[in-house]
Amino acid sequence: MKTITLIAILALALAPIALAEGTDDTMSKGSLELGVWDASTSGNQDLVSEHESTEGGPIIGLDLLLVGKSVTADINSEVRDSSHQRHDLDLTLVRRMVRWTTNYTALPHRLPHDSLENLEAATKHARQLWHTDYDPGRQYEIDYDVLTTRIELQPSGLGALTVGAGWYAQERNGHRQSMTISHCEGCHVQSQTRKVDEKTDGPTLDVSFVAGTGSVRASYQAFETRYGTRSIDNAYDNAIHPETRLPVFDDRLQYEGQTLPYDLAADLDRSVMQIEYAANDVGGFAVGAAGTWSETENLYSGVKSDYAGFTAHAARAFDNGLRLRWNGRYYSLDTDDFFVDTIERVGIAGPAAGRTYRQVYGFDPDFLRLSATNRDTLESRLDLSKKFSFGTLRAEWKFQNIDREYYEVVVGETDTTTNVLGLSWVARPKKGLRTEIRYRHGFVDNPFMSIDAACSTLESLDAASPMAPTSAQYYTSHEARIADTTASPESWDDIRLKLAYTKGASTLTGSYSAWSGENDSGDLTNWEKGNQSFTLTYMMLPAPGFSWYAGLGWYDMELESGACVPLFDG
Amino acid sequence: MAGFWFQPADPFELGVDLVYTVGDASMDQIMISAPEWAAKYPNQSWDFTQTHTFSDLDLTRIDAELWGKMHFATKYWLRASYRYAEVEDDQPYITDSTGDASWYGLSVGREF
Repeated sequence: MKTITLIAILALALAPIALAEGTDDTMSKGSLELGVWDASTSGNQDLVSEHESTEGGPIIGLDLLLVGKSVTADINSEVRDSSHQRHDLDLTLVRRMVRWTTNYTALPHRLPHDSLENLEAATKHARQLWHTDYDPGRQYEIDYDVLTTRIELQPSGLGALTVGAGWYAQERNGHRQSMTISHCEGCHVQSQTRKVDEKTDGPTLDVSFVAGTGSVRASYQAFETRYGTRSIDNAYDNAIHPETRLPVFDDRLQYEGQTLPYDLAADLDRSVMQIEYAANDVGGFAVGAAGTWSETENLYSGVKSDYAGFTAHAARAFDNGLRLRWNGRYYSLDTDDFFVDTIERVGIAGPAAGRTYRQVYGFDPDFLRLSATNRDTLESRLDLSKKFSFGTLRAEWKFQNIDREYYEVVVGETDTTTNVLGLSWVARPKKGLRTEIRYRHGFVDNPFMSIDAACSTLESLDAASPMAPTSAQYYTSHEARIADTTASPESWDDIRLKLAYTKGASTLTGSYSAWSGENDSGDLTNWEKGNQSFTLTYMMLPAPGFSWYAGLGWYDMELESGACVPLFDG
Repeated sequence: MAGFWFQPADPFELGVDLVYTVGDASMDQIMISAPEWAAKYPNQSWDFTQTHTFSDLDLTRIDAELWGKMHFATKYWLRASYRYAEVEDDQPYITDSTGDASWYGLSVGREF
């Protein structure tokens, strides 16, 4: 709201200058629009007005360009209500030595409210699955707003030097549905209204020096993410047997029968430092390199994640019409390990009385969490293009190697290597006609895979109860899984066609794209995905005061993936 | 989608935009290929014949906008607008997303 006030004050301050038309020193043009709007609704608004207010409000539109002797201002503002507005300001002062840019956008977002009514199933003696919505019928909404502001100084006499400073602020405020579950007396799903008041903000600083032969730039950003509401409390049910009403599950649960916080959000700190260098001519090539270092810290757990990335690029246009472009990147991600120390409670009734689950079954529930994102990655992209009489041909080769520290995509293998080869042809076979055809083929060694993630082969023995020694346990079922699952292709093909034709006052544009990929490289892995899209648009301006258009868009996607349905009896 | 812009006389402008969107999605039926299980537990009912229909989506959306603008007194204009949006949920499951909304506005503007 401070931003709105600031921009409004500035706009009001500039408006009289802008209105002083015809003076020798000032040129201004633009428009101001004022009005009112309202809305009427019926039925569910979650989709039909997902990102729009229906409360009514003012119509305020300001479009102003002011060019003075030492001041240039470009202001665009649009206000629908407090949660739906946009303001853009570009200001140059002191003969362009000071440049100030500010953008502010606010949008509402309606969120669905699950009634949970399908979560009801009962046995003869007790509920097995039930729900409680503590705020039924509540309309959920989060208002989102983001502000970026930046001021640049280019001192007189030091035109090659630019010093910049800015501020970034993003807020999400409102309420959403939050669910949790109590176990064993029945699966009791509980729903509450959770307040959302999240803010991410911080400064940006940068300095750059541009010379005739190249440029150097250094920047630093620091962001803090803070949650005004870090969690909400829920009163969890006692874990008792649904039929016998005895507390026989205490050794199997970390929590029950008390009020505990859930839906936790952790505050974060993040800093990013970057240094860039570019040279206009090194052996005929335009080249550049950059380094980026970033650290993110979870202030709740103390876990830190570090990123270090280095990029390089080179480009040259040769005399024979050949153009070459190459860019590469190496980066590493390193996130701290975290030991998960499970709360191991002692049973108070039944066969596990006086013992923990570990003592009964010998299963160790504690584990060291090793980040699957830890990796060293090398990327390269090479483009070669040449103009011919029949059009421009371009060849492309993309390469990526991900070397993970811990996560295995095949037993004993942590590397994924991707190659993409592409060829495109752009032509203008006759006046007003432009055609483009592009084909790419990708192939992957060891695509991302979750090993032994589905299809348990466990066939448990008959048992009188879940506590009987012969009864199968969930961990034994998990350990018997044999299927590797994925949502990443082992190979894929991508084709795109584009056409644009303009004749007189008419323009026809069309496009078609198709992508298909598959992966059957793992055990019982059978993943296939294909999508196609088609667009056609016709626009015509038959007379100076009349224009019309018509268009058609079509999209189709098919996904095939195997699944196993575990069957339980009892 | 389709639309037009029309200026029948110098001070008047008229614009119409229409968008009609249809989206549907479905999944294949779940087949339990375990006759030995069914033979072993004949009294159990593992009926997945309707499960795939729970994920069906069939949505139709209409967006229509009509606006008119009249210029007067050299640099002033009056604008009136009406917009209608409708979502028809033909496969509701738990929540029916069917709904509609109309927005209408009136404003006056000045060019500098």
